[in-house]
Amino acid sequence: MRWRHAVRATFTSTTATESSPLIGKVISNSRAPQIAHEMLVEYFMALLVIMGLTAPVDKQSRRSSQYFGHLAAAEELSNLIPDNYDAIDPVFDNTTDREVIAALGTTARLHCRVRHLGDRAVSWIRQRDLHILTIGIMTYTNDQRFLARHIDNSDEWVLKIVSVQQRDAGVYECQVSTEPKISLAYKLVVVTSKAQILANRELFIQSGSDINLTCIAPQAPGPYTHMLWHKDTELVSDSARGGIRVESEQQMKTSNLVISRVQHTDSGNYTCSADNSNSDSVFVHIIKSEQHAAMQHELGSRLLLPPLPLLLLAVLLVVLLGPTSSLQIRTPLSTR
Amino acid sequence: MKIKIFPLTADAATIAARRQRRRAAGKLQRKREMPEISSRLIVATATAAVVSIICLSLALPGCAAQESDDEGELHHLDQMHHQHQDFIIGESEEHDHIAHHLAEMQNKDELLEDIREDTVVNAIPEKDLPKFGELLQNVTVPVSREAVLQCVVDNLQTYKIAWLRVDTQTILTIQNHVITKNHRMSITHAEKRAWILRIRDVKESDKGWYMCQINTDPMKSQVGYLDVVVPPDILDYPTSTDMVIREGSNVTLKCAATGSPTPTITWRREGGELIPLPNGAEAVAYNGSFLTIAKVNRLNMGAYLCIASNGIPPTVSKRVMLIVHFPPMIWIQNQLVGAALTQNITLECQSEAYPKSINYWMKNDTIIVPGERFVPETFESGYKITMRLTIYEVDIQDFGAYRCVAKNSLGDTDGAIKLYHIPQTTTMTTMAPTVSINTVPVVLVKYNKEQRYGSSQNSNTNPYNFNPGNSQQNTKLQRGKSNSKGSDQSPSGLNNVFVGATSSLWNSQDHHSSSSSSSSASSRGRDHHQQQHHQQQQQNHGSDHGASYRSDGKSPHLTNHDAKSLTDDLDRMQDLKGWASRLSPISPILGLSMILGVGYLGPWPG
Repeated sequence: MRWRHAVRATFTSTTATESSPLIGKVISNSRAPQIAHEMLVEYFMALLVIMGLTAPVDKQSRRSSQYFGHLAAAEELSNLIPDNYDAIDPVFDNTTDREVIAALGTTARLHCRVRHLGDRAVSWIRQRDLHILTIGIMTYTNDQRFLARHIDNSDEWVLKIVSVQQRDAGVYECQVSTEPKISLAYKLVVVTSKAQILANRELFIQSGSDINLTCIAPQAPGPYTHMLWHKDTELVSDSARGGIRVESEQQMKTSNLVISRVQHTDSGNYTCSADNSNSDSVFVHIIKSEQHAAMQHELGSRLLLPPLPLLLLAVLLVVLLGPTSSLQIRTPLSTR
Repeated sequence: MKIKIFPLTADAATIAARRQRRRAAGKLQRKREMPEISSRLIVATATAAVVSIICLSLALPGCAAQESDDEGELHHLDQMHHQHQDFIIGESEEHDHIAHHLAEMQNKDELLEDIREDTVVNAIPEKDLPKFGELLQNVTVPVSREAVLQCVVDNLQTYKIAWLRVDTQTILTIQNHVITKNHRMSITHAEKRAWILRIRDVKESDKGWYMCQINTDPMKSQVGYLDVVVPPDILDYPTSTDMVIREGSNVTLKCAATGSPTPTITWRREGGELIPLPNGAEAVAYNGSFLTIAKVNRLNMGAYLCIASNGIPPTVSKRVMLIVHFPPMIWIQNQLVGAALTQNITLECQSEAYPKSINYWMKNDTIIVPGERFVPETFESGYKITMRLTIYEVDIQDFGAYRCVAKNSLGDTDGAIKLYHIPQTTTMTTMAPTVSINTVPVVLVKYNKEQRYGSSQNSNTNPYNFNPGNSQQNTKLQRGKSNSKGSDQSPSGLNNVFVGATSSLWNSQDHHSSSSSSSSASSRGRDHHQQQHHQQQQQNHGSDHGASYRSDGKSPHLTNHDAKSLTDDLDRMQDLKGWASRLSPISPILGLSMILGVGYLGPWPG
């Protein structure tokens, strides 16, 4: 085991020397913690087996973290001193979007561009209560949904709001710490977007007829909206059964579901979902023409049941989606 | 600029970690909470857990196969470790390491995951939030001093304090760091709970609300007001400067001042003089920016002080000079003055004018040139001028109309004073008591008439009349003269009676001398021989005067008096002869005079 690890480490370092210095540094820095962790694991296991004590391991781990801490500190210090100090006053780039529309629960980004920043700081403030959100790339507020993003040598400072709530709507200010300060106001609009199927909640269709369902999501944020149809818990697709067609226009935020010559098996709950929007559902009942009188009685009794099945279906969707995604993650690991 | 390597790496790692987190959102969210909980479990059951993990890992048959995946797993766990550090602040390194190690093992054994999930809720402790220990006080500071705002926070823990300017929504400080580039700001952390914001050299623009903020969720904050007071200062514009006003018009003095609080303006006059108020009353002081004086008069002329005060020392004031222009005016106390020959007399006029006037004296339309016998004087007091003209040893030619004139740029005016002759009758009384008692009234009347005729002749023969410019001035002056005559008719009569009686009693000697001078004047019209004789007599007359001045005792004065009287008697006899030849056919009184004269001549031949 030990010999194999040593061989891999050597191969990695050889590759680094052949690359550019920048990438080399990145790779070496990123690889170092991994190598340290491997060694720590081995030492830890050996010491436990042989001595049955934990104290020495703690000491070694402290030393390792201190070493990396010092290295990081040195890098930070060298970067704190700017090579070209700008005496020019900072100026806003007014081409950024000053009004941002975000759907409830999604992530909103406010982009602020400042030129000739020099040694000033860029901060984000919420105007509603003058709550300081971020200063530089540091988050001041304890609401961790607010984050600052900035790429070095770029003019852009981004305020990122994760899981936007209705109360987040309002005016945000990008502020530069000149004297007097300069600032730019941004407006965040939070919309509750909901897909809507243009039909009754329950449809009664004779067997052999065609179904045409239209779904719209006009308030979905963004220029394009991707829309999907589900039947019960399965995505509607042509492979399941011939004669089913989905026509979507992302720019118009509209989707049509067409099912030709419906059969009894086509009965079920049809759900339309759109990006960053709540979904909408209709229940389709397929009626056989010969048993008209009997079906009326059965449908009457079913009228009392629809709310409960819908709730159960929703719960099933939520529960099943989680394991599916986790399974997808595990599949590559098993293949290796 | 150098490229920052670690931040870039951190960002990349964060992005990669979050991408994986999205794929397995449900389970990873649970795992995000596990490290904190697992760190505490390890403290209690570290040895047992570690031992069990090692046994399981060694016992697994697929252990060798999993070794081939170590790189991927370690890479992933390294990123998780990074995130771990971000989320848990303040944990000890020891706990971080143990938690990290356990995270490294969790993918190999799913049994522990169930145990951690069960303990998620119970292990989250409630933290006490920080709170403000004292209220943020309002502060009042004079301009250019230092302002100190204090924010007291208890139980701060790992939360952060920030100072903001509420009016301008400006971030000032965060913890111990000054964010703003206003170098007059500084932050101090004292006694582990007081966060003191100091503003040096406070400016008026610093006035406003300041917020002390704690980054709790929801955020806690306090606000306090900083009031900057400024001493008063008078503005040069639109405050009035020195003003020149024509008397009778209205004037408004303005005064504007700055300061904080707004100063009050008070008007006063230098020397404590009274200020006329708009309602017609007068006061020592007036409150208000605009002081309006209606129908300004010369008494309002002077220095006015605008005083601005707002309770912040020093109080300031500005001096505004109000100058009132008006044309000259003249007042005369005595417009009719009588004098005997050789007497010294002073004429006086009072004038007022601003700007200052040119003042001079005129007689018979001629400006009097200062000389030995004519001495004009001027005494000034503010805009008031006293004019005095002293005439030494009054002569016959000096009698007449005098005028005092005052001129300035706004106009001119004059006043008239008439100087008249007062004759004397002492000689007759002394020489012939019996005869003189009977004839004194007659003689006085005659002498007065002669004097008046003589003065009119002199004015006609004045050589200055040929001047054309002078004639124009004479015309104007005559108009003024006539006006003054009309207004002074009755007073002159009264003065005449009073002055005449007085001079006859006390100035008999002067009267005597004046009569002799008139006789000499009349004798000039005769032959050359007589003129020579007259000259000899004049010489004697002068010597007599000199003798009278030199003598100091009483007896020499009497001796001179007797000699002088004899000479005068001879002169009179000659005069009487001349007049008798002219007037004998008309008046029988002249016959009596001849008889008297013959009576005198009787003793001289014997």
